[in-house]
Amino acid sequence: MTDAVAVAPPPRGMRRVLRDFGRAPGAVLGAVVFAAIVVLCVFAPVFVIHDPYDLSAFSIMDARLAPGERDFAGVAHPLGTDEQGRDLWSAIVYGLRISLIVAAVASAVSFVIGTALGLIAAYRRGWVDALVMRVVDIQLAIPSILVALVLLAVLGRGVDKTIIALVTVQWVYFARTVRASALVEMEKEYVQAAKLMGFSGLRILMRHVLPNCLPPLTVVATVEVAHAITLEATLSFLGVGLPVTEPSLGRLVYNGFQFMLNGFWWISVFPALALLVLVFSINLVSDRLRDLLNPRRRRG
Amino acid sequence: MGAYLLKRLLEGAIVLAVVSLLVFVGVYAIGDPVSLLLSPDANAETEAALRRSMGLDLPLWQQYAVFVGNLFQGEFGQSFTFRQDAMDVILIRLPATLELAFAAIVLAVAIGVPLGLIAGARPYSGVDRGLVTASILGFSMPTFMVGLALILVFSVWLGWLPSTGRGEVGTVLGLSSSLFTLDGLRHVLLPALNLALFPMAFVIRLTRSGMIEAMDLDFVRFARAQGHPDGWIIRNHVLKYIAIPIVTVVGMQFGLLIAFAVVTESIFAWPGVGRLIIEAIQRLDRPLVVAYIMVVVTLFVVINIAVDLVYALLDPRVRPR
Repeated sequence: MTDAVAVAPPPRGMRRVLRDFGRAPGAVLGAVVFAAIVVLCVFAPVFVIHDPYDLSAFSIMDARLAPGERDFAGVAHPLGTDEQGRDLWSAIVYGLRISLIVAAVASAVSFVIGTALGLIAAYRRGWVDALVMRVVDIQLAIPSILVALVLLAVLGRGVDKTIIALVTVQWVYFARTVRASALVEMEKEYVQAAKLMGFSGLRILMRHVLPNCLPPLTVVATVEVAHAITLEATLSFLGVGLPVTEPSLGRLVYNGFQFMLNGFWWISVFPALALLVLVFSINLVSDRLRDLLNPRRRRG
Repeated sequence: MGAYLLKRLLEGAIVLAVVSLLVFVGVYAIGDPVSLLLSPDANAETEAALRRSMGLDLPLWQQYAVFVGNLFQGEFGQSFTFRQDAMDVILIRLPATLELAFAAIVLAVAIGVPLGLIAGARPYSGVDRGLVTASILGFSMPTFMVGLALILVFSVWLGWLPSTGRGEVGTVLGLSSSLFTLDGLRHVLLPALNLALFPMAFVIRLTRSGMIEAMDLDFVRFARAQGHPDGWIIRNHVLKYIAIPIVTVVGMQFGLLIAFAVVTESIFAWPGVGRLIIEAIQRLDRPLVVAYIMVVVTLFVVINIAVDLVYALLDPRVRPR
């Protein structure tokens, strides 16, 4: 009952944000393309020509077919085949799926860890805050690719290890963002009121401060998903990220790279294009969200 | 100034200490090198002897002390794969990486500053919008994909430039570099362009915003009132005004480029430390990985401090009292 007095103002104009979002054709295109890719990944088996992991589904006789060529069985391969005769389109769809899952899991875990640490730092201040921010500063001073490389050098290859490396790199960005906006919120009257009413720190943080930190967090989250995808692709391209048994887009590009100099360009180029479309669609969305959710940039 | 320098050096030392601790814990405490080095049929006595000779029987803090002591003497142990001192292996390849990063910075400034001036001269015009979009693309395209595209277009399809190796190395004044021969320059162009893309996008944006800001300031209005043409004003006044942030960013990017060279060197088979570290990671060559991390992080810290000092010298406003 008394709660109503202290409750944070609801996120103003969520509907307005959605409406304004629709006014930018680029951002809408990005959202549509991204949604299409997600559908493609979820229902991957429906859209592919054959299962790229099923070694009996393709034959080395059909290796390195150019885009559009037909194999011995008469099946057309729109994007050609790779060095083992695997249909490239099918490999790309499954590769997209792996890239997307790894990036989504890594970003979600970073979101939780980074948000929790950022909130605690802003709430407790003092040495807790100093410690968290020191770690953040040091990590931001070192390029993320280097941090990830070193971690993978220690941990070894694997899906779980790549995710650990990505989270280690990414939580920093969430923590910094949350801390900055939480510090501002903590000074506001509704938080003071909630404190006076004797609410616990956890309740104030979760029910009052966190909801008001969500707009900037949303922007960071979309940026970080794209960041995770490119970082994972780069690591896999370098041969230190995902193992060969889990061929993400980066790995597919690397596989094809060895044949590119001999003129078999499509094995490398199409997975790279898929990666580009994926990252760019997310960037279009996050760019627009940044414009809409940043109060300083809000127009009219 | 002295106190400021001391403070920065202290901060740098703390960063290095933290990194050395992390590296020690990561590389030495996780996983047991003895099990890697020992043959499977060795008995317990041989194992204990090896453990003792490697200092692994000491308590952890003493092992760290020994590790740090070795760091100060530049001793990282023998590289497993090269059978040479790890530090030597790194130092032999470091010039190639520095040369690549240097070429990339030169390209980034030589192309980025003029483009930024053009964009900033007419903000929100078609040219400006095009350049800003291109710089966003430069930020969001993964380095390895740009490298692939460059190789595909200029090496495979057009056949203009080589895509692997460093080419012929020339020597001028005791410095040997592929920047001194025509063949070497041909080899360095594509990888340098690849590496330059990110800092170039940065320089374009920085120059553009500096230019837009400067053209509204009093000194530009005054120069215009004196009847000087815009080109003259830009050359003589605006460039000086925007030089400070550009110098800072270029300096800091140099450190970043040494790390990003990992990707570019792998694609273009450039014989520098970046390609070396990838091979070392794949072959689990720990002494080499440790040596690389410490060398690069040290370079990084030193460059950042140097940039801050230069910044303080250039701009009296940020000079700490």
